[in-house]
Amino acid sequence: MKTSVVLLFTILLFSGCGDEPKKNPPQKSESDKIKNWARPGVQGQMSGAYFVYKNPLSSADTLISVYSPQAMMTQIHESYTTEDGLAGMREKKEIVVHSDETLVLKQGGLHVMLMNLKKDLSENDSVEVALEFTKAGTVKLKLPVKNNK
Amino acid sequence: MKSQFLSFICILFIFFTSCNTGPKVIDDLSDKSFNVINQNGESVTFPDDYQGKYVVVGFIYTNCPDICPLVTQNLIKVQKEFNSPDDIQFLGITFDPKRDTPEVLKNYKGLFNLDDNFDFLTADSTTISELMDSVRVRSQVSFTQVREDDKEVYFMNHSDKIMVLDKKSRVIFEYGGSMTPVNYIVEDLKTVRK
Ligand SMILES: [Cu+2]
Repeated sequence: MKTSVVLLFTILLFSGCGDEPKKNPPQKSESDKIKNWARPGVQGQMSGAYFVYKNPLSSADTLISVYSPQAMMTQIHESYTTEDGLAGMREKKEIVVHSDETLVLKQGGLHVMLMNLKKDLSENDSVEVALEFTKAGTVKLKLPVKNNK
Repeated sequence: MKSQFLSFICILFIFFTSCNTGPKVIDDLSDKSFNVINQNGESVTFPDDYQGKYVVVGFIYTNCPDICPLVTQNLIKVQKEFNSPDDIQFLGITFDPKRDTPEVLKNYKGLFNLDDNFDFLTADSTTISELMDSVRVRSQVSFTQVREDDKEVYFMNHSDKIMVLDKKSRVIFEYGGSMTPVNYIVEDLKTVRK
C-alpha cells in the first residue's frame, strides 16, 4: 500500500499540469529561404537589411564598412542579449570572414542598419549596399525589399 | 493503513484542484487602467477596453529594425493561424513614447498590412513607464549615435516579450518575444479558447 501511494504520487507529480511556460527555444527561421533582402521602411526612420557573402579568396578577409546611398547612415549591427537578459544591438566595426567561409546576416543576428532613410522603402524597391573589405575591396549588392517575412 | 489511504486521497485532491483552475495567472491587470493612444490618435484605456477578448501583446520600439519586427511578425503569424478572429486582439505597445508618436506608429503599422484587430499603442512617458512596470518590461537607452546630419539617435536595450491576457485582463502566458515558435502561442491560445 505504502509503495503504491508513493508511486502514484510520483507519477502524478511528474505528469504535471502541462502549462509550463516555454521560453526562447532555438528556432530555425523561415526567412532563411530568401537570404538577401531589406525590410520596408519609412523616410526618416530606420530599416534593416540582410545578406550572405561567401569569401571567394584563399585567405581571410575583413568587412570594415558598409554604405548605402539610400540611408543617411549605414552600419553593421549585431543583435545580442545583455548580461541582465535584455535584447539589444551594437555596432560591429569589423567582421573577419575566413577563406571559403560564408558571412550570414539574418534576423536576430547581424544586420545592415539603415538609419534615417532618405525615402520610403516599399515592396518592389531594392536597397543598394556597398560592402568594403580589406582584400576584396568594394562588393556591391542589391537587396530586394520584402514584406512580412 | 487508514492514514495512508487518507493521505492518498489528500494527494489526489491537491493534484486535481491545482490542475482544474486553467492556466496560472501570472499577473492580474484587471485593476489597472492606463490611458493610451492608438496609431490613429484615438484614446484607448488599456486593458479595460479589451476586456471580453483575448489580447496578445508584443512590446516594441520602431527604431529597432531587427528584433522588434520579429516580435510583430510573430503576432501576425498567430493572427493568421487563427484566421483573424474577432475574439483575439493584437497589440504592439511601445516603450519608446518619445519617438513613437501615434503618427510614427501609424506608419509602422502600414509597413505590415494589418487589419483593425491589430493596434499599436503609445502614451505619455509616465503612463508608459507605469504600464511597462506593471507587466515587468524593462528598457533603457543603450547607446547614442550622432548621425551625419548631427542629429542624435539612441538605441535601447529591452525585454523581449510577448504576453497573452485572458478575457478578464489577466496575464496567462508569457514568451520570449522574437524567438518563440509561433505554434507555442497558438497551442496555448487554443487550450484556453475552446
Ligand atoms: Cu541595428
